[in-house]
Amino acid sequence: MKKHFLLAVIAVLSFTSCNNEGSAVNNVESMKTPQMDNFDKAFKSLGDPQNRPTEEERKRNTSELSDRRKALLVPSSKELILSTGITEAELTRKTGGDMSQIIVWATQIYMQKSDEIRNIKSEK
Amino acid sequence: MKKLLTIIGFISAASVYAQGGTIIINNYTSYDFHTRVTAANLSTPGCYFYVALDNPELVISGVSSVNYNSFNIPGTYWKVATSPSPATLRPGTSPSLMLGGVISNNTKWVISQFQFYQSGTLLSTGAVGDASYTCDPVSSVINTPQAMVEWFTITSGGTTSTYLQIY
Repeated sequence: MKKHFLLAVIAVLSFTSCNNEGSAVNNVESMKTPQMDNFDKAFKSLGDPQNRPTEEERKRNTSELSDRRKALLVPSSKELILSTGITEAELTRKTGGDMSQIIVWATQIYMQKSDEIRNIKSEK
Repeated sequence: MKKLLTIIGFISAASVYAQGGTIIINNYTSYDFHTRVTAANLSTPGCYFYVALDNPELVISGVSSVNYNSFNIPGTYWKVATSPSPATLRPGTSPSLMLGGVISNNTKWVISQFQFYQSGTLLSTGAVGDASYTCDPVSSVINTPQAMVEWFTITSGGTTSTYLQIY
């Protein structure tokens, strides 16, 4: 019985924690950390003329961002991950330097932080 | 004990895969970007397994961003089809559409049908999405009179982040 209860608690926790993640990030601009700003700027820079998708990249039959353009997102992603107190060594150990893994991890941190800022705002 | 571990394993696997629902829309222009997004299951043949936003459309006003982790966007209704029968309308809050729900877990974002508006006036329409989605072929980059619209994913293990960028 106790075991079942424990399982139920774990299940509920793992789902509710995820459910709260989504939703709009409007109106959080002013409270963003510098690392979040830089993360934003890196994504925006993908639209700069020299960073736009090349003819060859457009022809690929996949929607996955090319390695050339992923590389543009890595520095600010790392910066954002490190700003949470994770050490450089931990980052390397967990991602093995894999660009996609670093960017996806940073995206999750970014979304979490946006949610936190939104919550602080709604409490005021 | 073994059972416990198995269940914990399933739960963590589910929550890792569930991250596949993340969609981030960055509108860098001053125009309002209106969109209806569709997700589909790419491994089911026949093109009938899809979830498409019915109403209301998402509005990303000029120079702003939104991110969502599943279909559970407050106030939205989705056309859902998992068999060749006609699609049914479900609220985004229905359990199957929630993050970790069976439909959320088995679909990925594939298309954005969009319109550019300025002060309530329609300027142009278009569609962009996953170039590997053959059921309703669209390109992953499109130039409109207002802006370049690009769709891309970043995938790591079972986790996919989908980005829709308007430059």
